[in-house]
Amino acid sequence: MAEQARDDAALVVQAAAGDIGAFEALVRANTNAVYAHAYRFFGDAHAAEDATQEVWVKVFRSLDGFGSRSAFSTWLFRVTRNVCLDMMRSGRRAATPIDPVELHGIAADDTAGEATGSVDLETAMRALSPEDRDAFNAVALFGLPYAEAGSVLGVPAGTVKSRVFRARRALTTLLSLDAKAGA
Amino acid sequence: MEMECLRTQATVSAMHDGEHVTDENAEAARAHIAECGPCRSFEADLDRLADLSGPAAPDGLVDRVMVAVAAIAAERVADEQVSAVAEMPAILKEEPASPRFTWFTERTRLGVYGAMAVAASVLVLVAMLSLRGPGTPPATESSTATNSAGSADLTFSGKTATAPVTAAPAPTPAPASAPDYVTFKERVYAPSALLADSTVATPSLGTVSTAFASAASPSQVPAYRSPVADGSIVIKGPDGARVYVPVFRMFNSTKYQMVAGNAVDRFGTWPELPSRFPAPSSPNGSPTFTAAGSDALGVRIYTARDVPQAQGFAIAPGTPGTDPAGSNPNWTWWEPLQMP
Repeated sequence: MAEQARDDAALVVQAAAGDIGAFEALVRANTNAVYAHAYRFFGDAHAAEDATQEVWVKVFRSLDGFGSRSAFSTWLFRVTRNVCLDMMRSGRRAATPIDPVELHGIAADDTAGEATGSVDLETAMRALSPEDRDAFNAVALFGLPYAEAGSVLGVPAGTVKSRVFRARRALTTLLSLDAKAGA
Repeated sequence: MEMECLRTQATVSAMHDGEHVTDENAEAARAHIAECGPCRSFEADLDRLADLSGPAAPDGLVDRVMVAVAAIAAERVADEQVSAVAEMPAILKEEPASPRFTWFTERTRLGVYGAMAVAASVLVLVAMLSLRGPGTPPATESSTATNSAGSADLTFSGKTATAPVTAAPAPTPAPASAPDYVTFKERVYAPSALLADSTVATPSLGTVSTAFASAASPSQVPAYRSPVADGSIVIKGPDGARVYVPVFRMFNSTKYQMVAGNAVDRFGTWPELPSRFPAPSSPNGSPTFTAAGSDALGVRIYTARDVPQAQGFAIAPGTPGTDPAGSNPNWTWWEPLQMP
């Protein structure tokens, strides 16, 4: 994570100086995190794609003003979160509600492979509160320290710690419960 | 749940994220876990949770993003240089291109825009000066840049599109032949935009040995400094002067360019290791290379004896097609990018 942060910082400097190849490298390195956050926010692949594209356009337009005041990952998470919120507030996109029935059938010990686990994880993710999910994504997807995540979310680091812990407990519990049910 | 369990699991969760935990708390958590099955299970669940992939961006999304970004950049350059490059959009010929190649050409077009803007500014300045004194105003040279749809599907920038929580994608089967690579001073380049010969007024750098796509014997082809100051070169081929961009990857915040030891003198030739490195006999790189960690996105880096990592490293065969090494079936060698 620290190594990627160093790479990102160097690429941001190069991209701000006009090296679009460096910007592309930034996009390639971080697009999955942006997309994953948006996907978990909207529960919809098309909305996540729209949001991802909008995030990078905003980042590109704002590179000059970024100035490395914070880590790139912190800034990127902030932009991503704001774009998703703006899209929903403007009515352009709405979050797909979770159907409680979908929470059944999750198999924690599923040995069919990671792909199956991924689908289960996303289903469970949608059962989290938005606050807990945001905190979890900031830390798990964007690699933010609690203090940095807190600065974006507007809460103290201790609150981020609690939310991430609560999210993990919920996720592991959801996954484990169905494993027991299927046993 | 016992309060002690909650406290322990919260501590384990924070340690999992690399947060600072006091020695006292860490020791207390370890001691509790040794005695508590549910907390041991929670700790194992955290590892399993971290191993699960998040949703990956669909194929082509990065290319679509970059096309949108390139369009914005082009508008920005045009706005800044509106007086100097007012006629330039009209002389760019649009041709269909794949999204990735569109990005190649867009990227180079930006550089061409900039270079041409500077050239136009110089011409205007020269013309203005000449009007103030004796002599004939210089004739305005018509500069033309065209796009060209190519077959190359390369990644010339640094990284695979992999999120921190995503496992490395499975290697894709090697295609029948390599992209349209050329090498200049052993360094590997990939094709980009086609320029008009009139724009190649830059200093000659030497020659490249290539037959391009033909079956004829390779010949020595002139190479020129590119109007884009990103390490690219311009080569005059059968279809005119084309920009070739370095094939590079990022590591430790530095661009490393692929270096070939074999004669990549015909399109479709995969670069191989420089001859000073015998091909490893083992998948782990031995005896030539030693695994030395991974880059930021999980691609394993191998170092050679007596060569500091900062001066070069190897990448094993079988990287996915999105990696700058492509699906090269050979080991590849990478050294810091240098301006040609």
